[in-house]
Amino acid sequence: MPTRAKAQPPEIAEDRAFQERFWVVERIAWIGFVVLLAAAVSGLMGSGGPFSRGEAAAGDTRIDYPAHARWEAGEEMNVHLTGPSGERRLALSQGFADAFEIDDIQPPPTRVEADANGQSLVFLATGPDPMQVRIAMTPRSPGLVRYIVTPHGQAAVPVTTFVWP
Amino acid sequence: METVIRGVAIYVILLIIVRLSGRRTLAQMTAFDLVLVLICAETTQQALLADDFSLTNAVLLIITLFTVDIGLSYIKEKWSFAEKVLDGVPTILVSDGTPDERALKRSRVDIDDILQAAREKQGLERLDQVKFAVLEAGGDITIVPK
Repeated sequence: MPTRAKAQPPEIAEDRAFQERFWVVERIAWIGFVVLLAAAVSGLMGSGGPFSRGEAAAGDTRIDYPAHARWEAGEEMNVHLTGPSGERRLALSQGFADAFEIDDIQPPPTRVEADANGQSLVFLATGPDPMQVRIAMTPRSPGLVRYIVTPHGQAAVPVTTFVWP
Repeated sequence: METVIRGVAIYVILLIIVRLSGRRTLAQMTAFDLVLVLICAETTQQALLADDFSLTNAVLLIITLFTVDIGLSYIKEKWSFAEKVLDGVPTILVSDGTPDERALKRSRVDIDDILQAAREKQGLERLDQVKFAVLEAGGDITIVPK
């Protein structure tokens, strides 16, 4: 009985060794995709999630700031100002103004004082209760941003925000 | 400057993601895959244009994307390894009617996909009528009948 000759492979540029390596790379990349998504869900890439916010305390004042933000995406910082009734200040270093565009401040400050070190937002408190100041802001450029927040009557608090591109 | 950086970055990121997600996605594109592609296009558009809807930005962006594409085609022509990495290589899935199980599994293609390609392209009915089935670099399955 005549044996059938095995078919000659077609003339194609098959590189099985390369393809095998690439399949491995592909699967490693899929693990990378999952890791990236997990990082995003946990908030390490900003826009919500447990790690997207940072909290710093200065005396009895609390600063809630974005630890991980995204370029050109809206963020917010919340600062509790304490002190007697009357004027309360929130000083933001020049680094803050360089890094963020302020979209809104609630409550609106009664006035803003500026000098070479940055700006001070001045609010009028009608009573001795702590007041919350909410600053809506948008990062101007990606990268690591460092700035100093000084709540009324407290020590300066250095704050770091990483802005994803 | 930002337009060019955005254009190049998106081109490279899309190339890496599409390439690493595997060829199967293109080999058997379903109606839902098409919807996914449209969503990707819409999502990418935002990152490409940002808030600059000027004609200058659009023109610069288009030129950036085409220039990168032309540049890469020269690189691929010069270095065959770059071509393999960027475009991929064809893989023989069926040889002389015998399926290569490992290649099928790794490429996420099953016998039904090959039989479908055989019916569509060559009017073949059975696997033993297939001499070669090749998953091409572009993601298409080509059939050589016996």
